[in-house]
Parts: sequence; C-alpha cells; structure tokens
Amino acid sequence: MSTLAEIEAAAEVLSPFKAVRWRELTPAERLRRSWTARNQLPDARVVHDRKLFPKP
Amino acid sequence: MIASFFQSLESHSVAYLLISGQATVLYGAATFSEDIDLWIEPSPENVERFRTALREVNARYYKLTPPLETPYLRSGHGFHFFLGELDNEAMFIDVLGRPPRSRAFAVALGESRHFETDWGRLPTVGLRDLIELKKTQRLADYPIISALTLGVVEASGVSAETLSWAVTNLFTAESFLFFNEHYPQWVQSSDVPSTLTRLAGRPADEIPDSVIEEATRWMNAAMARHQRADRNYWRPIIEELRKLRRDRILMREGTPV
Repeated sequence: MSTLAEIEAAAEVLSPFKAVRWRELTPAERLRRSWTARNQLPDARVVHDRKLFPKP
Repeated sequence: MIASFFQSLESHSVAYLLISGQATVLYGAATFSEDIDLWIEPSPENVERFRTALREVNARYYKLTPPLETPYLRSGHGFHFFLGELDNEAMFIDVLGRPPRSRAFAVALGESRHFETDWGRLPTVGLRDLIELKKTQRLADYPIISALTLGVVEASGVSAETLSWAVTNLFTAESFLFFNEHYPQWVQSSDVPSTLTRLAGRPADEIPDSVIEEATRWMNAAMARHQRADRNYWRPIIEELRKLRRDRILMREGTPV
C-alpha cells in the first residue's frame, strides 16, 4: 500500500523533460494507471475534501 | 461503478464535458486525480437528464451542495455527489454548470475532444478551455497549465497567435526554458521583458541564472494575478453559499438525488 505522501508525490505534474514516457502512453492507459493509483489511496475522501474544501 | 456512471450519462444523452483532473490526465499533463469533475450544460432539460442519470447509479448529495437546479448551476455553484458508501470505495463527482472563466457550454463543446477509454468514449473539454479552468488559487495547478500549454503548441503548430498566447501561459522556469529553446519565434509576438527576449532560442544551460530568476519573477507575478482573479471570482458565490446554508437550503449529506 502506498502512503498518502507517496501518492501525492506521484500526483505532481511531470516536467516537459520527464513527461515523455507518460505521454507516449495512450490516453486510455494513462487514465487506467491514474485510477489504479487513486484506488490505492488510504482515504480518497480526505484528499478530495482537502482540495475542494480547503481550510481558510 | 465508474463505467456504469458514464454509461448512464450516455444512455440519457446528457450534454457534459469532462474537465479538470481526469481531463489533465487524458491530455498527459498530470498523472493522478482522485475524483471526477464534469461541466454540464445548465439547461433545464439537460439538468433533468443528468438528474435521471445520477438516480440510476444511486448517487447521493455530498457536502455544501445546493439542490440540483438550473438557477444554482447558472450562478456558478459547485455540486458534489458521491457513489457507493462513504468509505475507501466512495467515488466523488463534482459538477459545475458554469465553470470559472468559461465560455458558453455550446462553444466549449464545439472545441472538445473525445477520448476512448475503459469508461467509454468521454467528451473532454478542449485544451485552451481546460487551461482557463485550471487558473485557480492552487499553486499545484500552474505546472499542470504549463504542461498543457506545451501540449497546445505541439498540437497546433507555431503560429504567431499560438506562441504569443503560450508565453503567457507558462508558469515554471523549466517549461519556459524548454519553450524558449524550441520555439524561438515567440519573441516576435509577445510583450515580455527584454532581458528574456534577447535570449530567445538559446539552450537552457546557456541561460544565466539572473535571467532565469527574472523569468521566474515575471511568471510568478502573472500567477499571482490569476490567483487573485480566482479569489475574486469565487467571493460572491461563496457568500451566496453561506446564505443558502443559513437558510437551510443546502442538501443534507447522504440525501439521494
């Protein structure tokens, strides 16, 4: 199981230099891998709420 | 569950576009998003179709959400739903009828793109509209915008208009240096500090640190303007949301759609 920090680190955008392999995948494969990572989140609700309802 | 949801949208002919996180994944500018964000056409007929599709998959209201009605959609509120139980398996669906900085839905639909995926054929907002939607208060969105912008340039070529637009939509030193080296023609069409334009076309490792710092300051100032504009955009909507909460109009979490 990945930690939340690991998942969030992986969520960071790829730089133009590092993105080549990711962009070589088909969009469907990118979505598949993204959703697989999402399903490994310890608590998707926490991540969702923190982004959508940030504390002031 | 997720595929059933998109099948339901399709079978009820809901007019919608995938936006935000999953759209950035499909375009290759990000690797991860934990929810599904949709822009639905806010007409009464389409809202009714969308409501039917949500009911078919047993969607329920989540936090801080007004009733799913056209006036609230048209005034820019966000609508939050979930599928399944509120545990690790829950899936969140966030919906807007009028996203920030958006054009009319029909115009955006005309420039949308369809992606074939495991969830079906997904109508996805076009790159330029997606970039405008991502100009939020979240710092993490700006590297994503930069990557999307490079995607636009690669996809649409190097017209003066594209390059002039692109240079104002890069927010990281890394993306700017890449762009500067590969598309030196940008310098002819943009209002950028002269210290930067003088080095157009130079490889990144030949750009002095002082120029990189100036480029970073210039991009950070633009980013701060976008963040301020986004705060101002949401202020009246949040104020109205507070009033709806005071008046007990918001939907109770867990209420079926």
